[in-house]
Amino acid sequence: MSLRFFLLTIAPPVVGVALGYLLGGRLSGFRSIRIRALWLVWLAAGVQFAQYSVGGLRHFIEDTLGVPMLALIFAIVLVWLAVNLPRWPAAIRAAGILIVLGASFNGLAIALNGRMPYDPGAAVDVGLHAGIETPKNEPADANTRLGFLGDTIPIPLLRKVISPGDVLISFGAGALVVLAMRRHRRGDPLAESSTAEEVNHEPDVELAAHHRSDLHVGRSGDAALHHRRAVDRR
Amino acid sequence: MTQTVTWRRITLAAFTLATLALLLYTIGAPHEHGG
Repeated sequence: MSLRFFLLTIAPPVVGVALGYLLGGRLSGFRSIRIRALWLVWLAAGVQFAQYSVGGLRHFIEDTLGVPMLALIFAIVLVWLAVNLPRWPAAIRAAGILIVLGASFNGLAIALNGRMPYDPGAAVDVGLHAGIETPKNEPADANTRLGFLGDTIPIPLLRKVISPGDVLISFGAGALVVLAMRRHRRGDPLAESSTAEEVNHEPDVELAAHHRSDLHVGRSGDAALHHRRAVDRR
Repeated sequence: MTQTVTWRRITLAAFTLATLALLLYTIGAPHEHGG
């Protein structure tokens, strides 16, 4: 992975964090949503890395087992989204659906053409050689199907060509960060417990109530006398 | 104690953001080679 590619992948969440702070959110808002099975995304990234760097493994999975590595990667990520989407709040779910839509656009273009087609003209525009084939990309030609879903959008600053699906995934990832950060202000139970930790400076103390339903208004005699020091009782 | 919480939050946030970045690495398909 080149530095430019790294910048391209890290940009959406980083821009999301900056926007989140500008809109009054905090990173602690992430505590209010539960993200399950993160290991699946890391597994998909591991498979992705392997297809570029471990030639023998790619040959074994694709040629011997007959499973396209890109299909394997997309399946793992879509399972992760399927596990998480139903449990997320509606707005964050909408951001997740954008990611699914983007992945579907990319997946469709790859499935129909074998690899992600890219516009050779756009590649030349950003200073790349046209006609190069990689494990993930191939130049579009007259036989390419749904070429408009391929890499057609040049990003000269990063010398990359991205697809409409990439735009949706980037926008969805950035929006997910902003929306999660803004939940810091919603008075969410878990976010409240995090605030309680800040105020009490006792994060490891088990809180009495984790949910609003566990709280009660108390009575006049409910004062926590056991916390009084001996000097207070005199 | 507060420092521990701060580091826990930073770790959680960094891990989540890194995971989102990996989404683009996995299901994103930008063309980059051949330059």
